[in-house]
Amino acid sequence: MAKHFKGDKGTRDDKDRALAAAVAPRGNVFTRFTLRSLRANRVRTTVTIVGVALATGLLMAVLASVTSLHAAIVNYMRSTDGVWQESFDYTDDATLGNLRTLAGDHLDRLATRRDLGAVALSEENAEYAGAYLGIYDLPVESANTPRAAGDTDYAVYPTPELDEGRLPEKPGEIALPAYLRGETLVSGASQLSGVDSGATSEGELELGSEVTLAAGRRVWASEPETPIKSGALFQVEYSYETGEDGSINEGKTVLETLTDVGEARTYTVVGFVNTSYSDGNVAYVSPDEPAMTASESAVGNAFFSTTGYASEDELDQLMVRLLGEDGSWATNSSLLMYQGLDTGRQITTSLVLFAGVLAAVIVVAAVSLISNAFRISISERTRQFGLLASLGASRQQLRRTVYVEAGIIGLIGIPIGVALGIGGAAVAFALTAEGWSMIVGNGVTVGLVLRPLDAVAAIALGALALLVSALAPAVRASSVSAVDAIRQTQDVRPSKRLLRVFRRRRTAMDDFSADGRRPRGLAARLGGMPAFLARRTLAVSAGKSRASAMALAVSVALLVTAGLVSDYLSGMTSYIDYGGSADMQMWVSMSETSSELADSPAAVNMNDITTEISRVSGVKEGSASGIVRTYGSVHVDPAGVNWDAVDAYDASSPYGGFQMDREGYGSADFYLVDDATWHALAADLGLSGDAADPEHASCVAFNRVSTTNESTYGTVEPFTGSAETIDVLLADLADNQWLGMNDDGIYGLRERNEDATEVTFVSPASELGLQTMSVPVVACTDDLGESFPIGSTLMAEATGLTFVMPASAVFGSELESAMSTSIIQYFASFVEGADENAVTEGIQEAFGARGDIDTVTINNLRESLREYNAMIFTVNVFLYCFIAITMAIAVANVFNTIASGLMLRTREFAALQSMGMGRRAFRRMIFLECADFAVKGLVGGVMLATLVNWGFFAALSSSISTLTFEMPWGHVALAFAVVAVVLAASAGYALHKTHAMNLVEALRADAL
Amino acid sequence: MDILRVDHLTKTYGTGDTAVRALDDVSFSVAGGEFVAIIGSSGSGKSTLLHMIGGVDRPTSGTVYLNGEDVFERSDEQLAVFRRREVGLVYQFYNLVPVLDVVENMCLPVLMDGRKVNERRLTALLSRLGLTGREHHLPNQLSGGQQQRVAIGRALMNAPAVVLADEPTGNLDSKNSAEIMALLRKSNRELRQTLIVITHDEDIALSADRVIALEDGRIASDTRAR
Repeated sequence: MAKHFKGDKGTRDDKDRALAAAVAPRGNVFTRFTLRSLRANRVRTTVTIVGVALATGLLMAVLASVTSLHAAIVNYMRSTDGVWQESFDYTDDATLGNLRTLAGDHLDRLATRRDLGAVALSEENAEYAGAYLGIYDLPVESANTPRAAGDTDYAVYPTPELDEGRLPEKPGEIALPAYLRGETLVSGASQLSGVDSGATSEGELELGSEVTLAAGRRVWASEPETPIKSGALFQVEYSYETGEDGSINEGKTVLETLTDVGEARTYTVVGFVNTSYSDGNVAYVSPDEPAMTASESAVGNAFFSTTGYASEDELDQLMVRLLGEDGSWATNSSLLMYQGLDTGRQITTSLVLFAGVLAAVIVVAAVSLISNAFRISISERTRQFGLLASLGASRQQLRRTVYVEAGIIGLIGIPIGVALGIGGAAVAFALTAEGWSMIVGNGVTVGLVLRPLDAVAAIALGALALLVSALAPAVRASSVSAVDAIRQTQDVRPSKRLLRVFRRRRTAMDDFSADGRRPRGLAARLGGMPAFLARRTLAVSAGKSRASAMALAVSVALLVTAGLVSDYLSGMTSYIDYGGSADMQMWVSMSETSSELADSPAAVNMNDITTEISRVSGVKEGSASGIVRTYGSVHVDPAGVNWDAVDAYDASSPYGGFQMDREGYGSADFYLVDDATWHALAADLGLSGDAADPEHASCVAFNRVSTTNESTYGTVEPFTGSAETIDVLLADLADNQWLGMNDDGIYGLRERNEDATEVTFVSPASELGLQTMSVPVVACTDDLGESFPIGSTLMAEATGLTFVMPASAVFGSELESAMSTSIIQYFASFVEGADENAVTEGIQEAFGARGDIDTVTINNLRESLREYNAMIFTVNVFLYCFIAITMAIAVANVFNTIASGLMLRTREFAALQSMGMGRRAFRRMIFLECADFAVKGLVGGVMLATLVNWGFFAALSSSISTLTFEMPWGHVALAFAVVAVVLAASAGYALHKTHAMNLVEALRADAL
Repeated sequence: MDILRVDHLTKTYGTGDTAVRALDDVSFSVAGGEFVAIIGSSGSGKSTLLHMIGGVDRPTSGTVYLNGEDVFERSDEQLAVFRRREVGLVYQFYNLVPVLDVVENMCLPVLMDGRKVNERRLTALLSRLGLTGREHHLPNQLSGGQQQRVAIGRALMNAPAVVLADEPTGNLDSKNSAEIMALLRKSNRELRQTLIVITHDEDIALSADRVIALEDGRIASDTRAR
């Protein structure tokens, strides 16, 4: 080996000395010796350094990611709840001065607001708005507090979130909770005995309305001195008593009362706000608003944050000093928890646990890689160490050589790894910022947050892995004896099993098969000498390769599991996949609810409305469609019904029995579509003539009903396809009568008695002699085509037969009164690249301009899908980054094992070839050895992955009934390919190296 | 009758300035059954010559004829077959396959050839080599002398026409050396095998039929005994 350096010995030695001086201050012959051997084996050294760098990088990335996510969650907390840590109520401003004195420099930010009192609502209003409306003013941050070192990005206490309008800016203005919009506040008795409503309004509340409020102070009935927060829940005690006759008497005791009610004042509504859970039912006024109660008192709410306290206990001590032992205060515990001041809570623990598990996996992988590299490096140099020992090197000196080697590798690998980890995490976060923001919520931006502690931890763990890896080889290096060095035998320690086999063989011929033509054993019989030699080598070195095979198996399992997780994730998308072609779903609701089809302008004017929708700029041409979902009663020829399907439905559907009796009478869903949609459907189904004409009554039978329940997934086809017509029942029924399934499974007339206590079955539908209208079935299909706006999966969620009909043919015909409306929906898609918000606003305006439709809710389906995909993308990026690096570590490991293992056997290979082993046989032998390794790694890995998969399946199948157990074969194939390529490359590299040395050299290859 | 003819054999390692001419136009013939000792200082080309004869390495120019056939006209695969059938090689460092036991090591060339192991021959060899009772030991369970005897057994198992030994006793004490040489000599006499031995040992050289001395890749002297 020394000959590699002959050429430029001088300069190399200089470099060696320089590096040696850097690594070990008293650079000596052993350090230089180490440097040389590292350089002599450049590839293995590089692979080991890369392994250390990858492992450290992965650790760094995991730690940085956890820190970043933690920071994002804290930001979420800060944005929703503010940065305050403690809050207390005060009536005397001196308390604030005390706080300043007591907290001193620890006080960071302080905000105050006033609780101006509560207004009692009338019983009528209280039904949906609660007993009270509290009045708070907006929080103001105290200017006297220096916003020192602490949290300054978010408000101390957040201002309420506006739903409409603006926040009050001057006295007399008020922002009401959004739930009061459209309500009329009326006078009358309140839920409190002897207290009348203090809130009235002229008509329905909207922006600009005037509201008159008289606020008082809520106090406990038992202790009138103690105020209750004006936004707090109504303090009521419920009691239940069982009477003598077994009836239950419910008792209700109001525990509070309202005092100090001031004069009524009039306010202008300038905004509507979304109420927060922490504030309760509260309206907000400006900070300049004068006091409202009779005594003109107000309770102050103070919120403050601190810096420099180490734990929640210290904060508590401050509060006790400020408010006394009996004082009460509130703690922003979720923020404290994430700030680490409140330890031992679940979420922080699970984050730490998550990081811990990942770090453990990485450390184990890293230790296996590095120790493998060291082990090989040491066994390659057994003779060198023996020689050094024979020349008088002490054991300690030999051990040190190994530690120095580890030190050099760490010195180069760990900094690279830290840089890699930070860079990788930065890129991953940059790529997935959008997805993370959606996951964390509230528009909080998520970016890479670096903490010096993480880098220190990554470096320490990397160094620890290195040290642990170097330990065993160091001991081994120091125990190499001079005798071993002089003896030329290679380090072959046959397994006990092999020794037992040899012990059982007596005569010389026991080594051979019965005919004496080949060695004994299955391998030789199947694959000849190459297989025999490969098998024997593996048997002897089983222990050595087992660790590497296991490492390979683990990375294969990781790769397959990654596929699994991403499969499950993308599988989830299909559950929110509406299946239809539309991007927007518009729900039309009318304040006057009627199930009469003719009463609903949204249904009757469907063709006009779809035309108007399609005129809105940004709506894709031909994408607007309208569907009125109605239900009615039908009779179908029993011969046209697939009764097996109905039985299957009855057996498994969670919705009870199929809505049809054995004579073919039942309830059906009718999807009435606008003309354009019917034309498109007809074109997709290949209909023509009368069938394609929307003015002509005909129907398409949707032949699919879901039988999915908690445990099983499935669909059935209720039609045989033979039915040519259906009869729609034209029943003119009284208000207390309807057609429905009776308990005995017969469809017929049901009637409710006058005092609505009993329902009786009057007669089966078949015996009612009802008039019917026959509608031809023009198609029977389970796929309504690309252009139909509702997906088949959604359509299949039915309890009876489903038909699609042109609305134009129904309106004005006898059918109109036979069908009852349940839902009216419109659908449309975007033009590619359209401003989606502008389009939905345009549609809202179009509906509004009509004047006959009350409210329209537009769901942007594309948006939901996009959000979901962004989240999946985010998770996948992190998942695959982790897998890729773990895989890289495994690859480095495999490479080191295979390549070094083969290179160590150079002499053995040369001997075999000089004994007459041909190249082809030789290659076959190597191939078989690698194949064995590959099979062990792959089979083990796939088995492990299957186990994990089964775990996933078991965990998820309880919640998702459509789940089937499937292996991600694409990823299994990928794992196979990766393993094959890595093994081929490793073996190829090693053989190239061994061939580069000619046989003669190899035969006398001294390990020195 | 010449069994082996070395014809203008030249071997150069490396190229350009660093080229080393290990063998420089070496020619000689060896008769069947002859015992030839090759001597020379380190780096004189002895081992290179032996490996050329054994078909382990190819020459830069010139050729070797064994039994009248050109050794290097063969392809690599054919050369491998040649090595396992026609020659027996013994090395200073034994070069046994560490994962095979004594018998398997000895029979390796036979097995690679897919031929039947001759039981009588094997038992006879084992007893003559003093390896009876050690049939199923692995090389690292044997002493140096025993390992070399296994290597000799491997070279003789195929009854090759030519046995080539590269300092077979260089790593052994004098008692073991004498035993090893006696074994080789005996086989040479009894089976009329041609034996070519590289040696530094004067006694061995003196016992040979012929001594070829190499110096800087050339034949410095070629002396026949008696």
